[in-house]
Amino acid sequence: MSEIQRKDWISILSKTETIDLKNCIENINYTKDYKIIYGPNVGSIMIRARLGGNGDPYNLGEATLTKCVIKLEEGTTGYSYHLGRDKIRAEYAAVLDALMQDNNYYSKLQSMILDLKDKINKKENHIINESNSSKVDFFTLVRGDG
Amino acid sequence: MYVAVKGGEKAIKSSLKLLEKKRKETGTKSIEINQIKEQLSFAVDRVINEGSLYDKDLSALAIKQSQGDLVEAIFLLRAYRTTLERYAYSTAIDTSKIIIKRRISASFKDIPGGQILGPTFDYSHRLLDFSLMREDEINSYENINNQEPKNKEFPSVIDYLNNENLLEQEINNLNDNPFDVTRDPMKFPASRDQWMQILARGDEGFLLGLSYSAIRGFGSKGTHPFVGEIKYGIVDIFISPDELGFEICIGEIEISECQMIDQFEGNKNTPPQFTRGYGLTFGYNERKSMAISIVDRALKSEGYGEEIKFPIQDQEFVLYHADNVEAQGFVTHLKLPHYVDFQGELNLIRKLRNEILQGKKL
Repeated sequence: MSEIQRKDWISILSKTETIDLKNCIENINYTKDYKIIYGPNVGSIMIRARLGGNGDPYNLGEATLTKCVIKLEEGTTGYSYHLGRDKIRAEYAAVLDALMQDNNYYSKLQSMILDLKDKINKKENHIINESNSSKVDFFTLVRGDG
Repeated sequence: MYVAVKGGEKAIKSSLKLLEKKRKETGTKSIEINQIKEQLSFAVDRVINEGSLYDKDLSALAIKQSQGDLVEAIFLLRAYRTTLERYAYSTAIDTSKIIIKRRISASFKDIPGGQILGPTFDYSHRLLDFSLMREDEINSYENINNQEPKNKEFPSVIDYLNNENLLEQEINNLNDNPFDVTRDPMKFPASRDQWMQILARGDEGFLLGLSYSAIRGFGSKGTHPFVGEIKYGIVDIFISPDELGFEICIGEIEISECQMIDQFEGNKNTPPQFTRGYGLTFGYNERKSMAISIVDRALKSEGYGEEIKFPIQDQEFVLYHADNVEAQGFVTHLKLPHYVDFQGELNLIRKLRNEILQGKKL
């Protein structure tokens, strides 16, 4: 099974639905208390883009962002930043981020997180396949001189 | 000038009640937020752009609350935005890493990855579909195909011209603190980062009209721009929180991008080269991204040494009037009580007339 870096699991968690996050925590029977250090609170993020697509950055507009920080009994701190306003989802993700940093829980969660990654990939594949179904070959007609 | 008035509490209360009653005149079923999000998705996407806040749930709520008055919905979203603490600035979006939903070029026929129509009204017949009048249930499409696609890469079309030096290049000045209209006062001459943010939140109708004026001849060049590439799809958003010390993905958003290619004759220093206009919006908003790309090109006129003679080239004209929350605020404030003001005007005109009429008698 491939190792998962923290950066990668945070990315996977950010694209996973609440119910799947909840299932992960339930599946490893994590019932201990954890302390909420921050949030979950809704704030905003300014999304930046690039002039012309690849030039200097500019401010495109904001998005809602939910932030949560928790601390496990074991002492590990978990973070989550998620687009949108789903506070429950952000809390589960912060708990999972903390659990994944703990070797003991990591080994139990690893395959589940990889499954979530697979689910995200499949969803993306589905979108691209759908798009590709509308691929078109235009052919130009030469106008006759009469 | 508007002078404050007092009173009218009862009437205002009743007026608000009438407004709410208008929404449920005959007791139809309440629309669910999800229904608005899915079935009126273009309206939702317009409101997130001009409201300048990417949150489709809140956009749908605003549309419901404003009873479909999109400018009012945009106002509601803008007002909500001001209550939020800003946690972060994202890393600039990389639009070349996009999960494609639509991608076309009007300049090149054969492009790597192909022309992908995606969901578009372009080839529909624009005939009213009367079957929607009686539509009861909506069946979702179950046809899932999640096989690994043959192609996921969609290289930028305009790179073709870049390779031959036929196209103006973006200059990277490494400005990492771009203008922010929500924090900084407007300044002129405006830099491109300033106008691109204002255009992104600008009124679609105003920008569409401006871009139309340029193509019809009230623009920098009387020529016809070409769509280098239009893309609509999903991109990841990244931030680098201080407490983590590395970059993380925080989710994904939909965007629409337009690369417009325009003419330029060159000068002493630059041989003839195509110039560019760029448009980017949240969500699926192709029309607006095209309009922005044309306005962007026109606002660049001064930089090319072109004569500024049309409204679309005039920074102050475009940037001060593109915002529909400001525009509607100023135009519609005229309906508020101006009694004292108008009394003044009345007195003045009576006095003027009296003077002239009496003068005649003499």
